[in-house]
Amino acid sequence: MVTQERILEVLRTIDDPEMPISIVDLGIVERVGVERTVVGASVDIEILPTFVGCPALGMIENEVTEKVSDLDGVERVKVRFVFEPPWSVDRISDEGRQSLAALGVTVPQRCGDQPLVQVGVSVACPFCESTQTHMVSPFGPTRCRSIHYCEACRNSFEQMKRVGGA
Amino acid sequence: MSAGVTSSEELRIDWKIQEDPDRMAAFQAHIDAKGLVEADDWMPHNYRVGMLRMAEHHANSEIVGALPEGEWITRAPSLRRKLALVAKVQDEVGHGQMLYRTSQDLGKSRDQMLRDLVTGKTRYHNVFNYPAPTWADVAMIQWLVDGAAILNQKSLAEGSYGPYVRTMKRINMEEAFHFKSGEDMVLTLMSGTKRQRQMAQEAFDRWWGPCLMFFGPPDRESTKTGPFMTWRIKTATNDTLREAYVDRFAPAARALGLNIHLARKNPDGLIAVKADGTPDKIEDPLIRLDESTGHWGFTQPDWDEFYRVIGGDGPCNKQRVALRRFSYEQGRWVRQAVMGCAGLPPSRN
Repeated sequence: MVTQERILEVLRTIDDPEMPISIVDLGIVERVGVERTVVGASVDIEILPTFVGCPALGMIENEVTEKVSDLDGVERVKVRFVFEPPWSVDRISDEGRQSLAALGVTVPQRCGDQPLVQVGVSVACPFCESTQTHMVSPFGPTRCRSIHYCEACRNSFEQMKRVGGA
Repeated sequence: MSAGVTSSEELRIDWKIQEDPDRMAAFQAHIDAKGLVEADDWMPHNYRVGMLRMAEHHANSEIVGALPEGEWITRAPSLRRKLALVAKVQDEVGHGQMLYRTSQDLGKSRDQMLRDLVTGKTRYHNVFNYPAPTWADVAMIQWLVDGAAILNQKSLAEGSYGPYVRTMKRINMEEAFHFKSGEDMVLTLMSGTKRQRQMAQEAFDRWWGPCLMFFGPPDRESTKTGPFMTWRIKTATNDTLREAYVDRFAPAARALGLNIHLARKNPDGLIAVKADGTPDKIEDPLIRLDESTGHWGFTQPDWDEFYRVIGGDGPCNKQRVALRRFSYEQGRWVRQAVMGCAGLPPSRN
């Protein structure tokens, strides 16, 4: 019989469509429920979108449904998007933070209640760790990211926006 | 800010410049060893200018490329598609932001770049001079044009200029997402009604040619390819990329039920119509897999059209530049307000 651990293992192989981070490391998998029925397992997965208007949800839903359905003993998969508790960058795992930093996307430290976009706070550069940086635009290429520039190594980088509290 | 503006005279490729031979040798050795060049490193004048041209052209293309798709936001067929399209347009403009930043460090001010774009001194990608008259065009842009962009940018992500390469890696992840949504949009149309399939085919006929031209003129006509390859500003030639593109998309299009046509175009970019009212097009007779080489054959696009459109006489050149100019002029007071009082960091210009 399929277990919750086995399903999480599969979810760990599914990356966010725009970033090299699994949906589990991104902290958007809120709950995995497995119910045994006579014909097989009925799986309910709750996903917590980073941003409500995230355009990648359809793609994530399809991939989750497809891959979990392929597991032996799974009869039915239902993906549901939930918005409570709100997702926050604090939910991103350490491993996920490292892989995002390697790409040039930094994640704010976990410290709970902070505004969505912090003005006047220096963000450390994910390439050289200098704090001689400034924000170029609060609107990055995706809804969840802002654009920054490092004066020390002269690279652009991005930061995940802090959303909600811990 | 006038002091920071570099005159465009200094930003020309000039093969007569004599660089220090020792420095040149060390630079080439570093590149050959797959080393990355950073913004503060010494680099030959022509490397700097070549890299700037490429990054600036790329930045221009991102922000102009958002225009044909932006027109469709209010007309997207569902809320889900609208959300995805808004996000895509934001992506492209964000990419433009980062690429202008990279270009600034190579020696040209952002304002100069934006002014050169609206006065027609610099260009953006030719493919954006074509119209997107139907929703199927939006689908084809996301699938065919972004597919071409990914192929090109994957090769650029193997390049030698560090800040550009790093930006390119992030951009490519997002382009891959656009491509997948584009594929989904085309699939939806192709599994729809006869009218939807026809709309998709007509849009495909409009975009196939411009996409073949996407990779630039044939290698024999491209003068800069040689030295740029040696410096890894480019890592694949135009013809190599074009061939890889056809190998990927000719079978994919056919699998979806699309036919590859040679079509005659009107000056407005739409397919010409014959006297009997049907589109003036024939199936490309060369489209087939050559078993001996493993590559797909194809008819070269109309290169006269390419040079004509690049020269400013394409279906939408004036419209695209006019919209950029409108936006640049409307935003002037905002720039003045911000630049006037914010105490900008030293490297911003």
